[in-house]
Amino acid sequence: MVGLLRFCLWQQAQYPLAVSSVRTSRKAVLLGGAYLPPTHPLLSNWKFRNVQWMVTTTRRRRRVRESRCGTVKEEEEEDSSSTAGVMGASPIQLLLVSDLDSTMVDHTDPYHTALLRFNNLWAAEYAHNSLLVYSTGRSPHKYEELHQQVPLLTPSIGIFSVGTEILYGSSLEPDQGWVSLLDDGWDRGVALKELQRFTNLRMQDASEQRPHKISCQVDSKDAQDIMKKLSERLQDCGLKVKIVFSHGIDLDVLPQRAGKGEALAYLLQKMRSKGQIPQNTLVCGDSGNDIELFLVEGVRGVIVGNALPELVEWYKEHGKNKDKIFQATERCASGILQSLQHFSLGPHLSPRDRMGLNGIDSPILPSESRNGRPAMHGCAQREVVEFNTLFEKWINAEVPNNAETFQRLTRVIARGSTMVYPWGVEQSLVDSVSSAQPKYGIMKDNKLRTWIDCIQEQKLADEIFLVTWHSWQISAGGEKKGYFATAILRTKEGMPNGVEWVRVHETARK
Amino acid sequence: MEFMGAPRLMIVSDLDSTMVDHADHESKSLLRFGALWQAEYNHDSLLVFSTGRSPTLYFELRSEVPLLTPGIAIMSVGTEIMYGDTMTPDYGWVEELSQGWDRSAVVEVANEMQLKYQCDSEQRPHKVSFHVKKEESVHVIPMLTQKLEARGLNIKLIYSGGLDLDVLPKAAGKGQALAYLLRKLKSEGRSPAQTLVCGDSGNDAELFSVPGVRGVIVGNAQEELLHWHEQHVGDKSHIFCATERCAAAIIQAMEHFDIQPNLSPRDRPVPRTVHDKLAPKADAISVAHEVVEYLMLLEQWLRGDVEGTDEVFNRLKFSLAEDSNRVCAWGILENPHEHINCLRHHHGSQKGKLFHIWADRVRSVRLSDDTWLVRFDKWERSDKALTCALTTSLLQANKDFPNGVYWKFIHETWLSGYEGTVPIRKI
Repeated sequence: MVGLLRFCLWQQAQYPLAVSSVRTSRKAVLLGGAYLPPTHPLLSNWKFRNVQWMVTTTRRRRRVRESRCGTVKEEEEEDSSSTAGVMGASPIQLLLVSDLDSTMVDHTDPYHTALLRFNNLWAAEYAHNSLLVYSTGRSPHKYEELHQQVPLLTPSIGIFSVGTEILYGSSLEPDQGWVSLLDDGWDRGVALKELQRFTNLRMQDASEQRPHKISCQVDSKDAQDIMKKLSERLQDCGLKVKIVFSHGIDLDVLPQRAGKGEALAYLLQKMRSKGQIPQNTLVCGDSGNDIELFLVEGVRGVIVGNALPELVEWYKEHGKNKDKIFQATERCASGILQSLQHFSLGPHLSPRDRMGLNGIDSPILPSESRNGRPAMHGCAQREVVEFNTLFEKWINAEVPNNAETFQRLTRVIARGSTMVYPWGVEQSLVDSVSSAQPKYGIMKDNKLRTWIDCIQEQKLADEIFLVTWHSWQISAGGEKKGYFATAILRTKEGMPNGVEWVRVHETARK
Repeated sequence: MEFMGAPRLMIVSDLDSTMVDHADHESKSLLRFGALWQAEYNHDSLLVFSTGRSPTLYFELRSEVPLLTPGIAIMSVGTEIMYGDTMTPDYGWVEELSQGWDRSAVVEVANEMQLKYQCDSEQRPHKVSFHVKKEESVHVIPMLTQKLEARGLNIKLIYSGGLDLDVLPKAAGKGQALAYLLRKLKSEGRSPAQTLVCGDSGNDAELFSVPGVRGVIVGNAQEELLHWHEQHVGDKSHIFCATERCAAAIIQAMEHFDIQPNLSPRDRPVPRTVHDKLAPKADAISVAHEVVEYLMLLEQWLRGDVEGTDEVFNRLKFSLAEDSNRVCAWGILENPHEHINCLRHHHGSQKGKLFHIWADRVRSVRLSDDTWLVRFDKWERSDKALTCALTTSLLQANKDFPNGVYWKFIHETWLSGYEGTVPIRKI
């Protein structure tokens, strides 16, 4: 909301480029910060610095408690007190595990239209009860690079470096259990020495060399031969490895038990042991190193429309189990959205899809929500996403320019409500929103793209919701800005999502 | 969230040498008054500043001393009235002043007499201002008056501070502006239950003549005002001549006239535990108290004005809910407890230095039976910087705390123009 109003009111704002990391009070972090809903079983039993926005309900974390006498005690504790909140004890509706390059991210589309549609749908309909997991060949370093360039959401869990690293939380805690598993039968030094005997293997960048991954490049004509020979050599050395060839050039040497599929299976097993299996698991991929994902038991899969021949071939030969695997016709994230509809996993129409030049379709009414939420649950969150989406479309001239459309924005603002803008000004919200009406289409030649990350809704009282989120925007010039946003909404009959806005506060991210 | 009802108390005060004591660079009494106002009155009373300063100089003053935000600002010797946070001008008042006023004629006459002008910022649409020495004023003022009246202008001259001469429309002046304001408030059904005016110099005299108000002449008042008071005929029981200086005199007057409450939070120790207060209950006043007292205690901790014990520290720490969150103005999301833990080692780090933290514009909205939304400006001043964070916070009822509430959520953004540059305390 802020960025949109900013463009409307001050078109020459000068803001330093926002860094896409969430900084904890202890140390700066590499990634955009991970978000796990508080009831998540993976939050127990290891050191995890959770800096998610608001603690909604049950929260398991390490606490340092100082008694009144001043002695310090450290306790590992499960806080099972129930507070009014979003998650409660509700199960994970959907575990969505997606590859990044050419699956979630379409590198041929500089505007990332499909990804923004996905982000929009996720924030509005899934963020409160589902988990987003990225499973990528990229190292954390390369992931961070991608995150800077592309409008990616913050995942709950990151599986990096071709399934050799499982990292949680904004402090990127590695899963120690996974590390131990991979150490078995692995000796990086030995493997590297053997690799270096093969002269037609070229090493990738230093950032791609990870504790449990050695990455090279080889011409595809040599690939099969080298893989066979290398495999034999390393086996002779007593190592248990696997060798993965993908994208027609990349060759990765990993511990045998590593891999995207293995990492996912490990995670699912862990969830199972806590009695928290997701109701549905969807994996998404486009290339060779995603094959394993589709093989994990119990999952559904989508092969995106632009998948590489190596994956399509595999599907033709092995994946004929059409119940479980869907070959999308559309590219990248659009293909993922197609699969949500195909498998009936939940809502597949984002506010972006519902609002267009044909007008604004009425939202899915709370009572019709498929995920079985209580009537008002998640409505404040959806209101935030819808409002911001419509605002963006208004200034991009992507919705009809009429009073009826604009009224959707003004009618949901409570009288007397106020907003604090990140440039340090506090104003009446009614006035600010109204002043945007004449700004229809000011960005139509230079579209502004926005998205919402880490959105969380908390019920403060019967009629009061606190919604917090990270707001991002990127202009056509590529300048990316981020804000921490907070809003208080109150139930109001007759409003599109049953709530009205009372207060908004935004701060620019460091 | 600005208070728009009938004020329980309206205070109309001059600024220089009344609210603001230029002799005290720490502005102690101003901070005392500020704390009292924010904690007890901001939610249902009206603070009005009535100053000779032009808007430019008024804003300058705001960046020099810890001045509260008034509900209404009457500037330029009662010729400009501005309302609220947005400082919306009162155009009705402008119209009233324009009758019988011709600014260019005044300027012409003044030029003829070769009077010395004050700086540009003090020349306003309905005010022409000069510097005239005390000795000269005796003949300059009558001559100027006569010449202007000869031109058919409806003007008044106000001489104050032994130096400042203002030429205004006859209908202008602090007293007239106040009378106009009271009429306006009455017509809106917002008549104050009581009004207290405060002044120190010549141009404040009119304030005391407005019917129905009480007044305080501060202990450091100028001779011209004391002289006026002496010469004034009639009932003077509504005017209190204070012994104390500036804002302290205003508090003294509140005691004198039995305007309750009048004990500033800064004049007593911050309650540490729930036992220090009787039956705390969460309401608009206790919520305001919590904001004011918490910031005060932070200041006292850093200045070493309070002992560095666990009891005090726990008051700071545990008033923040364990699961609370804070977006600090630096653009960082943090757990407030971690921040407070860092503060532990900074007890007395600002000892002997100029350092204050105070709250302004404390306004609350009750969201539910036990949850309050409070917005306030958090100001911090040191030798090096003056910073302000616009703050949104959520406080929730909790019987274990002195003010019956504790902090659940804090979100800050730097006020434009008052950004912090270096964290005073390491995060």
